[in-house]
Amino acid sequence: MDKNSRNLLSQVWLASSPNLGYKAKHRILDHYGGAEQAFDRFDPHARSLAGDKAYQELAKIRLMGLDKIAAALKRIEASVCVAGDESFPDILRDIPDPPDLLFYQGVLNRDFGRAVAIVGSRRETRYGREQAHKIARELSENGIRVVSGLARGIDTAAHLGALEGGGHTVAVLGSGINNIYPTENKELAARIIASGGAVISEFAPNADPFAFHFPFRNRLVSGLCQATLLVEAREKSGTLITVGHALSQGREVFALPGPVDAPGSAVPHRMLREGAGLVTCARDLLEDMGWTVREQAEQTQFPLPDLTNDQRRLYDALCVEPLDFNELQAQLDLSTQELNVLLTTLEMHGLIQTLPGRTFKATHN
Amino acid sequence: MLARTKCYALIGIHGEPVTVEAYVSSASLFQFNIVGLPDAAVKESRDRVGAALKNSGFTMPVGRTVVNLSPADLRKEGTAFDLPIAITIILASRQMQAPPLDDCVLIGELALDGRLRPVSGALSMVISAHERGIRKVVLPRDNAAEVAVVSGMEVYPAGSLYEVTQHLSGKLPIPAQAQKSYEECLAQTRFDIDLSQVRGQQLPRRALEIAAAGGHNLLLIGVPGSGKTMLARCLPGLLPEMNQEEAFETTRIHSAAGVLKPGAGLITQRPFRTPHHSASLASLIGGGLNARPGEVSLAHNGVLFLDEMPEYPRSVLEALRQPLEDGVITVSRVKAHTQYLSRIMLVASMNPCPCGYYGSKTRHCRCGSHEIKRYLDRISGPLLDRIDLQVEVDAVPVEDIVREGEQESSAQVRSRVRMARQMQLKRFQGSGLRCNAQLTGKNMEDKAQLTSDARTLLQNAVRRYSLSMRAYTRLIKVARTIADLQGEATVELPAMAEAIQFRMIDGKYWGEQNSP
Repeated sequence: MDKNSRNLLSQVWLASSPNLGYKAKHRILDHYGGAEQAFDRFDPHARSLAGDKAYQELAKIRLMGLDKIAAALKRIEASVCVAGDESFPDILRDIPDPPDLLFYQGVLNRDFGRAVAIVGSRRETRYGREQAHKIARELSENGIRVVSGLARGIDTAAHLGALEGGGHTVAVLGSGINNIYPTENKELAARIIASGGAVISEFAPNADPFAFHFPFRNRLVSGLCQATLLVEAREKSGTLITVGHALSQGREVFALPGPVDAPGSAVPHRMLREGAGLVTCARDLLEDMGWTVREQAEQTQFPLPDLTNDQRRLYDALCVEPLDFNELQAQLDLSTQELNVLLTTLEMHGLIQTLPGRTFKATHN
Repeated sequence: MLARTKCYALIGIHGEPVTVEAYVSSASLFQFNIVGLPDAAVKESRDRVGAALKNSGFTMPVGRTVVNLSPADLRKEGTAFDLPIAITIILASRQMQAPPLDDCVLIGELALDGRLRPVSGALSMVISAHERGIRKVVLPRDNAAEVAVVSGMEVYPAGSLYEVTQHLSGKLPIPAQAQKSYEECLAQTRFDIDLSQVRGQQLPRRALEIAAAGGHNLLLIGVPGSGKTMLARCLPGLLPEMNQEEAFETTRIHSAAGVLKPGAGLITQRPFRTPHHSASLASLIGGGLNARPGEVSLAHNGVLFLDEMPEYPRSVLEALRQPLEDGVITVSRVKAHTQYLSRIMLVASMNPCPCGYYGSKTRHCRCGSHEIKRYLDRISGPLLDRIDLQVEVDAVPVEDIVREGEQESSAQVRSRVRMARQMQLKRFQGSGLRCNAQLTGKNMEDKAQLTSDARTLLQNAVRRYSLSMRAYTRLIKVARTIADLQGEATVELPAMAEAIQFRMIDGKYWGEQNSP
């Protein structure tokens, strides 16, 4: 075992105690003068530096030896990097409290490139989900990385959008890399890795998603990116912490406006009033950041298929605003049966879309 | 001396003939026994009969009295044996002279003062007696109405034990109750709610009509207060009238379960049962010590309405699958083993999400997409599989509620439903099927008669909305019913196009499980 990997594995050893906090870890590093030294000269004095629980955990794992630790890492297919490594993103070295090491699966590079964090509510609305998905896709198509937290709601939509755009996306976890949370996003995590993105975490590989992990994790979400986009958040939302981190790290903050009467719009709108950049599409963000916008092929106007008179009236009505079944019936004066038939026909042409609440909207306006 | 009368015991919804024998011997101390596997209620009839005899001007014979209920190995339960036991004792102790009672059945519970009280299951007993060639029955006045339709049966409604003895001895015969034709009963049917009372709701109205026409199970999804329950309540009035056979089946089950109101008569209105979601499995399916019919059987030939379906325990919902499929349920218990009919239409209602306001235009939904998904997942695929029509119900805007104007009545819709049902009966002649809802993969293709246009549209829809195989067959069934309502022999394009509007939980848009 060479010197380098001994040092790295010693750091992994220090990182694998779920009960060893960031500050306690640095007390140990300072006391012994490095991770490798700490591993070699670990003694009961560390109990006063680390606390009882963490001390016992570290002592127990130390008994395994570094070889076993390396084998365990290999078994869960996790890679490790520390500051200065080829795979450790340099951009993270600029932030206060940078991580000592990162566990990751997938691909990471020293040059993380242009990246945008998309964060928002876990209890999202359809509007927020659709917009987050769309903007993530467009950013991805422009070669921008999309970073988020693999949480439910907006995070999931952002990752999915980025995947659809064909670019790389990175998920920063609040749990261990071998313990993906929420479990329903395991498959999404696998897709992110398979597509050339990465799933990263600074916590012990089997760490549970403790509530206090998430605010701490959020500094990495914003820290990896030059800009953070806020999509839907209620007051007291955890995403506010990410925005706070972005500001203290000197990164740009953008917000997506929402309907003024929706609870999820309160925070983004306040951010906008306080000077965040207004984003309605990826182009807004790219231009504000001074990044090049890939010339899009001129959107060819979708030729309307031949419509009957009634179909035309229905489509025109929906082009003005989304309407529900009753409103359509009142406006067009059609029987239930006739309207049902028309709706199916237009849906099959891909001209309209059905929304919950039996509401319909035109797809090309 | 010995005497004998006839009576019926109730086993499930069937009557079994029971002969009541009494033997009185005066050369002994006083003793009174009932033998022949009586249950507690029958055993207690000893005391009721004793008091009723005394209070009707008779005496309990001195000496030893044995009453045997034959066949002695059949378990007997209920209180219907009071009257035959009392009459047999009176005959055996020669307190009354009467011609032999071989052609007459006695049914009734005695009060201590000698009055007759109604019993449950009277209709089943009388029908069974009629099938065995018996033509006379004496029973409590409150039971008379429900058996008035059994043709060829002379029914003598009596108020008290004394009246019965007067009748049997020929001193003061009770006039036989006038027969009622089934049509007369039918004419008295009153529905407590009519479709004309429902304002707006054009789409759910249409769904109700299609459901009624094809016998399809129906799921109503809507925000709280949108009128799901009221719409469901209209359904019995939209279904074609029950024929006499169906009315008998339903009344027998209700009579056996003891839920028939005294004096209510034959049930001619299709039942509408609304078990609460805290209902136990046994109360829904049937069970208990004596294998009583459950709510699915009480709803036989009618509608079983499950309000807030996701609130029902999973086990209860899963247990519904078999009776929904087979139309019959076998309830097995230690003491009894009975088959009950359960040909029902299932109507269920639910909110679109845990908070109830997903998709509402007036209030914001507070649920995340994973919460909505988890809520919808409470209804299993196999059960959803059996619900052909799904329709969203929205709250009616105030302008619609106050708007004057005639809404279509239940009777108007019912006449169209009746036509559609007739088309189906004609098509299914000889196949044992009754309505489109019963079509299965095997006979679907040749019975449904899809035009090639309709088939192409269906295939496109399956691809576009990534529909499952079960959604595919459901669409065919619903389209077939829509065509029947139009009076069309084949399923044309518009019928299929309309059917496609009644899919919801499967397909992409509801809950949006996949991606935006």
